[in-house]
Amino acid sequence: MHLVIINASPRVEAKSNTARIIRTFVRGFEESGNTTEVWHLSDKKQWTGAKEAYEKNSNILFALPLYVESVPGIMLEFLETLQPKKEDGTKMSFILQGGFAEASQLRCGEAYLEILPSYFNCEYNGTLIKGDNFGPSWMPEDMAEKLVAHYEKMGRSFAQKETFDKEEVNEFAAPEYFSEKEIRQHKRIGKWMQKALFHYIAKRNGCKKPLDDKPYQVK
Amino acid sequence: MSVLVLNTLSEDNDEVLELQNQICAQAEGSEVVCTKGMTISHCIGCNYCWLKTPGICTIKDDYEIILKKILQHEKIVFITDIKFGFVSYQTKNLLDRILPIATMYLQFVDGQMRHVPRYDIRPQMGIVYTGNAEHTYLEKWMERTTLNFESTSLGVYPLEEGRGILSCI
Repeated sequence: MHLVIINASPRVEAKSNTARIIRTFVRGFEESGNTTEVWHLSDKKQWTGAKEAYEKNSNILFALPLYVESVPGIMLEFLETLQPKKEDGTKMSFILQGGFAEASQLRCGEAYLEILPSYFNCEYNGTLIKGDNFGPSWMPEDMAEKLVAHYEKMGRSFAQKETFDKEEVNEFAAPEYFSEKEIRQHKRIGKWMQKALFHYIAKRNGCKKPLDDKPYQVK
Repeated sequence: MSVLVLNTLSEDNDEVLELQNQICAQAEGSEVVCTKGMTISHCIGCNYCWLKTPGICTIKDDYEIILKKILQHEKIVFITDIKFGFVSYQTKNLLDRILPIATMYLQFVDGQMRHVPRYDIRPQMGIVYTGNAEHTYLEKWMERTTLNFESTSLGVYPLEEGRGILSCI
C-alpha cells in the first residue's frame, strides 16, 4: 500500500511532535514493503504537493495535534483547497495526538474526524488517538525517541489491518481517565514535578517573567 | 455583563447586523469586532505564550487587539460561516490563539486535567452560524471548549434562530 501522510501540525517540522510520531509510525508501516510520502502543512510551499497527492491517491492519513478540542485552524484552511473525490474508494485515516494524557481528552476531536471524510466523498478509516505527547519537543533526542517509540508497533499493525482497529487503539490510548488514586498522587507530588519541569524549560527559553504573569490584566 | 461579538463572516447581511444591534442594545458595554480585513494568523504551536513570554503571543498581528478585548467582557459570541459542518478556519484560528489566557500549570478539575486560568475571567462562549452545520457536534464542541476555561457554553444557533442567544446574555 502507498500511504499519503499529511502532517497538519502548524509547528515547524523540526520541533513538531506530530512529525516525530509520523517518522516512528512509518518505520513500522514500511517494514512489510509499504511506501509513504509525507507532507507538512507548516510549510506553505508544500500545500500544492499535498493537494496533488490527495487527488492522485486513495489512502490518505492526516496526522494532527488536538487544538482546542478539535482540528487545528491550519488544517481547516488547507481542507478548503481540496475538492471532494469524484470517484468512491478513497480511505481517510487519522492520527490524533494531544498533550493531556487521558484518552477522554481526545474524544471530542475524534468525533469530528469520524464525520469529516464524508465531506470529501472519502471513507472514514479509523483514528489512532493518544495523549501524553507534550514532552518530546522539549526533551533531549534520545528521551523524545523513547517517548514515541510505541507508535512503531501501531505502524506495523496498520500495515497488516489496513485500518485502525478501535479496540487496539483504546488499549494504546489508555487510560481513558486517571484513577482517583493517581489524581491524589498528582496533587501531592506530580503537580510539583510538572512545575519544576515547566520552570526548567522556561529558564532555558530565556523566560524573564513568572509563568502565571498577567500582562493584560484589566485594572 | 457585556458581550464581545467576534464576527468572522465573509459577508455580512441585514439579519446579522440586526442581531449584533440587539446584542449591543441588550447588554451594555458590548462591542462587535468584524475580523474581515484584519490580519490574524493561525496558531503556530510554539508554546511561547506558556513557556517564554507568559500570556503574550509571539505572533505580532491583529489578534492582540482581540485578546485584550476578551479580557474586558464576560461573554463571547462568535458569528461564523460553516465549512465541512464545523466553524470556518477563521473562527477556529480565533479560538486556537486564545491559549495565552491559560497558563502552563495543570490541575485536575472534575477528574480531568486542565490548564490553570491566567486571569480571573471565565468567558462564556456561544456560536451563531450560517451554513449547514453538524449542529450536535458543534454543541458538544462548544461545551468541551468552555469547560477548559472553567465556564459554560451559551449554546449554538443557526442565524435564523440567532435571537435564541439573546436569552443567554
